[in-house]
Amino acid sequence: MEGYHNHTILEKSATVKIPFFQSSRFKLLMFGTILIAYGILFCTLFCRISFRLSDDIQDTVSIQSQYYTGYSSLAPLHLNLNNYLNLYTEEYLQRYEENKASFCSFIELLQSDDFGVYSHDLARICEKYLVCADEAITYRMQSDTPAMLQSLENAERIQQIISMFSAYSIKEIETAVNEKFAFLNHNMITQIQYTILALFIVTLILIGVAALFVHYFLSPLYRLTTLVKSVSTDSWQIQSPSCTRKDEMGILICAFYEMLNKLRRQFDELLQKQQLEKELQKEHEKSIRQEALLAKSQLRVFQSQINSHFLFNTLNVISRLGYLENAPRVQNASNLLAQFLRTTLNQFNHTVTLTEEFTTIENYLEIQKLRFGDRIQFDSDMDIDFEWFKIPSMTLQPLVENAFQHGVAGKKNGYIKYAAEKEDDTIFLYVWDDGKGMTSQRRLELLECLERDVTGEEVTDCIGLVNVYRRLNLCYPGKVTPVIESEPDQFCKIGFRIKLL
Amino acid sequence: MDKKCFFRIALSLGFFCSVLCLSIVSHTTTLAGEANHRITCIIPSRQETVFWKEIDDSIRDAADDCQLELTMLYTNSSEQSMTMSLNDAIETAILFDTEAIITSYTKANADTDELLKRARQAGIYVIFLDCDGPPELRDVYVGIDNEAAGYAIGMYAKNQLEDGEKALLCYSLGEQNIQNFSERLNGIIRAFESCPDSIQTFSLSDSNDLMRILELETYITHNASIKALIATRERATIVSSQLLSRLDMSGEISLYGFDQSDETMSLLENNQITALVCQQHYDMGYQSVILAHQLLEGETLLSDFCKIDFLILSANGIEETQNRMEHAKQMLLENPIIS
Repeated sequence: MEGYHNHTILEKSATVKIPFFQSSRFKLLMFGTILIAYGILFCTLFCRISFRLSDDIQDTVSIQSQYYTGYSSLAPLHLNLNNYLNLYTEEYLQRYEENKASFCSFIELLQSDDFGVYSHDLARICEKYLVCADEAITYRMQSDTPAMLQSLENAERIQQIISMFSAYSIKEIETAVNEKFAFLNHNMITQIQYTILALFIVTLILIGVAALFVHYFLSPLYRLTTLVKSVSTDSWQIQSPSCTRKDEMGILICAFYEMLNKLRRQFDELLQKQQLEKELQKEHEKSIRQEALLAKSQLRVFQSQINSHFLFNTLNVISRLGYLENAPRVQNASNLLAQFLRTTLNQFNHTVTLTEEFTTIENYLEIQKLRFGDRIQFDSDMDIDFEWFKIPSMTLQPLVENAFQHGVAGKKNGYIKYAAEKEDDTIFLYVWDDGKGMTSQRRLELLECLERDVTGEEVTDCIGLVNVYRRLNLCYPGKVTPVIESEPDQFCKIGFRIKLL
Repeated sequence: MDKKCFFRIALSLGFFCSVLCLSIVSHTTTLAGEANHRITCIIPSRQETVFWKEIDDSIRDAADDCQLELTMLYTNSSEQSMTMSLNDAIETAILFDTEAIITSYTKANADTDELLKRARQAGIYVIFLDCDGPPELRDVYVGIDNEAAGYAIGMYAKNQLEDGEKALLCYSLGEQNIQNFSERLNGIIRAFESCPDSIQTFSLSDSNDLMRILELETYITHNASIKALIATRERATIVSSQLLSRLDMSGEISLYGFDQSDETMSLLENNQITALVCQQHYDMGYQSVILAHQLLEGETLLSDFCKIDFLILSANGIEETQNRMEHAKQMLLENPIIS
């Protein structure tokens, strides 16, 4: 039937089990995870940028702070040196050593790659200072006063030079720090710009992805909505669904289409049933009409039966009178007629074999010979396979009678043939005469007559032929086809083809 | 889970993780540079005159080209805190173990000599530029041939004089090195050897000495035959120009001087100076560094005097000469003389 689509996605079970990785829950979960991941990614990016920037700034400030802290340790260092050399106390020595440690750190700082040429030079000068200071302390310990004083003088001189030269180093560090801050600032702005651009692009992409995802997720619902609307308008123009999705939405769509198809199937079956019932009703009415006709025929036959007894009796009287009056031809004729009538009455409303039907026709023809003599020639032909084929009685005889009455009756010499021939899978019963035939119009009228009878319409013309056709149809319903062939003044062939299978 | 789904998940996770890693991981390391020679240059200030600015620039360019670690010290910085005396600067350079000192001998004194000796004893190469000093105190001198310059300007001036006209040589030592001074003087006088009567001399003991300047004014006014003034240094040139302007004799008496600076160039453009001896400052500074590099590389110099070209700038030839100087500078930058 049209419009049905078999869907095998749904199994006939009470519950629908969907694998987790194919379900809508999983898809939503994945989408949510992607959004969260996106958020985490950009938080991480921003945090990373800000942390790195913060670290860089802190490093730069720290370097600057360390520089000044270290540089400021020179003054107390020299002061403690002087105090120790003058007073020779452990306390000042200890302080000197503490300041020296700071100063050494300062020198290390100056020697790092973060600083430029001037700072490196300053570091070397500071090292020279420490050498002189340590020498002074050593000489002090050794009580070598002149050497100590010389070393101290050198240290003082170097300290003065450090004070003079430090301006170069400070300017250098200040310039470096400013450049670093400017670079960091520029870097930060650039990174923020790139990050914002990336954020913008990724946001657009995500919006696109989200839109696609929502479309993908909800498109079955839209289709479902459209479908429900179309169904509500009694339209059955349903397109074949694509049930590739195996999640809840896909199952919902497929289930709905199946339900719709089921409904449509049932609707079509209902229509079919109604149609069949209508046909059945028609058949029933037809059979009732045919029964009525049969009853009518039977009634007529019954009526004729009643008359037939009188007829037989009268024919017997005529035969006796003929014998008594010495009229053998009269006796013969009446005997023949009586025999014919007996046969026909006995066979009335029965089926007879073709052999019996042909015998009845021969009887009839004997009677007709009394009238026509040798003017009319007769011939018969029966396929030997059909000797025992059953037909209603008085099937061919009325046709032979018609051939006499309407065909060869006015001719000097006529020919009538009655036959039962095999044609493929049919048996063809016909009567052929070379009489005056009929026109094409008449032929069509006869055929129409027979057709009308089949459809149950009342027929008033060609009753005999109709009767034969009706009884044949009763015997072989739906297998009988009337055949009327004729050429005016040439021949007429009337018969019935009966399907054997 | 079907393969397609698995593939999509794997792809998404992989993309996410790679972007996350990229955002976290980024670390660059810097390579340590090779140890370079250290040189120190002691000059007045780059802001003082265009002369020293060019010197400063050329020294920095040369140090970059030769990959030398350069320390610039200024004896007359615009920032007071960075101004050091020549002696302090030399002592500082010795302390931070410089390998070569480039400086001018101008404003040197006895202490300077001691320090330079100490520097040389410590193995530090000493290069003088612009102003020469005692040969035992330096390894090489970079400057113009003052005698040739004096001769050139003298000849220029002499050629401009007509018969009967004279040139007046105004000389003053000032801060100039006496050797430079005497060489210039000798050069100029040599130019007038063939006509000694065409030149007269006038000592400007100090360019700021007002009395002496007034005397000069009187001298010029009372000597109509004087049609040219020759000054031996920049300050004297400027003072002479001012004097002539005051006397309204700039058109009558030609002025010839030394040393290119903003002021002298301006006077030259205004035709208040007829011709000027200009040193190629850029070349001077650049060559001094090149020579230091050669010495530090152990090369033996052919001479302890590196002569730098000079030019005679006249009012007509300023533009052309400046282009030539710029071109020479550019050539030097593009093709540094490094052996």
